[in-house]
Amino acid sequence: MKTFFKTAAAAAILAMGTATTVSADGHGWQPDGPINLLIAFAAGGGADTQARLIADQVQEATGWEIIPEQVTGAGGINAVRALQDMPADGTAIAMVVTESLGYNAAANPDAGVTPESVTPLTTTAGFQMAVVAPASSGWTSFEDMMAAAQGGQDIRFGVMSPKLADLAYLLGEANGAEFNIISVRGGRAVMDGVVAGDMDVGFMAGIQGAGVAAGDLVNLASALSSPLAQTPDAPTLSDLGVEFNADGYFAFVGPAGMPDDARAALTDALIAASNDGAAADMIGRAFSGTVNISGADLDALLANDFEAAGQLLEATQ
Amino acid sequence: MFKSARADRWLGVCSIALALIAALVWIPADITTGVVEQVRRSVRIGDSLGPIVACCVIGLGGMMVMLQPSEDAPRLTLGNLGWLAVLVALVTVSLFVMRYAGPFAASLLSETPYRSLRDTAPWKYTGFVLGGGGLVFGLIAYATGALRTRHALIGLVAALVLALLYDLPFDDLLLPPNGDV
Repeated sequence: MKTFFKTAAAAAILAMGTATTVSADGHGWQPDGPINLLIAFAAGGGADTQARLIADQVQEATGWEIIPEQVTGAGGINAVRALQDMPADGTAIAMVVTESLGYNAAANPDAGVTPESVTPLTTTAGFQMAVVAPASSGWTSFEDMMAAAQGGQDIRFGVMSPKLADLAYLLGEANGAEFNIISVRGGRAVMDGVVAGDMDVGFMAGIQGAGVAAGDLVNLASALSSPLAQTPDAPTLSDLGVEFNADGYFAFVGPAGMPDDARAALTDALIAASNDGAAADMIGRAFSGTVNISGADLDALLANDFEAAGQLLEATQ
Repeated sequence: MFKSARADRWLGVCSIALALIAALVWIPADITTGVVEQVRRSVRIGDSLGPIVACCVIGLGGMMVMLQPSEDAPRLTLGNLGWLAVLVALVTVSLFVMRYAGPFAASLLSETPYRSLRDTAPWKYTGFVLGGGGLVFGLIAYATGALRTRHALIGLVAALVLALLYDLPFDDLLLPPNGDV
């Protein structure tokens, strides 16, 4: 009787033509059902758009069904915690930033999140994090801004994460100024604040590109360990006396303990999608191009970020 | 004090109890940041602030109702409590069916685990239609005081229509309870 029911159920599913479509990939692995994609960013922003475009292209290329959903809050910690409750069989992944597993994890020890809480898959893009001012300020360099600060101007410095608040504090300390640090939610809020004149300067992670190209905004400094792609002459934080930086990447991760074949297949599919079609175009426009770091390199990057975060937290006590 | 008190007083007491449980147990267990946070060099609003304010409003409202019940409010009777208990039981059983009917059906009828079938028809509709349909049927039956096949059909059709209304236009939407399995 049970066999009859199983046969009937299988026939019904086939008849409705809605069985999950799967196709073989280079690793011979395929997900056991739909894949939940937890997106740690607000719907409609650049990061969310990037994640959904990549998901669409993975679906097209592999036939795997991907179901995106927003799990925002606590700088990506909420998404990682939600991921921890899901099976590590490749049917649940998340898009976060490396900062989620670095500074944000180190600064919130009660959340119980570390780089070991996830199986890293791949990064997709790096930040072009810069100290950005409006062109209307008249500042064309970091020195101009510091001259204004030393002349008595209160510098309102917009940031969108606690780590960036720490970096802004250290930047001021290293250059003999105390910035008025304003924390807001998201890079767009910083840009809006700077453009509207509510802030004099702020950290922006790439969203400033079009404004800088149009001459409305100015990259005063690179917050990265390397020069900015768009403004290579701007000094880095290291040049300005800060030993820490805001290097960071968007990254796909799965729950800890994901089998190697699932990790490899998902990683390859995500890398291929992030280098192709509309996803690659969007990443190129918004984040200066795809950056894929995966495997042992990504494991090491996350571990180093977590350790550096501890040092940054100590330095700004 | 409350032996023959007006229903409003009990409503007030229950609201205060709910507010206290939410503020002291539920919110701290579910939200990692407090009402305000000392983050590095600044004090910030924590994620708990909004829910705690909501609890305060509920508790305040409960206190006002408890201390100044309406003159017209009826007395609470055992019949009232029984009616409420059945209502709560109906909703609880329906939600239980909604959550577990799909996995149970899959365990009987398929070799594939339900999680893999959670976005595949007809499995994905099982819990929502049986649990939701059962809830509608139960409420109609309870309100009318009669068990009729017609009402069961109305419940099932209403749940199915609601399921299709959400499921068909939206590719990225999982029907309850499939996001949690």
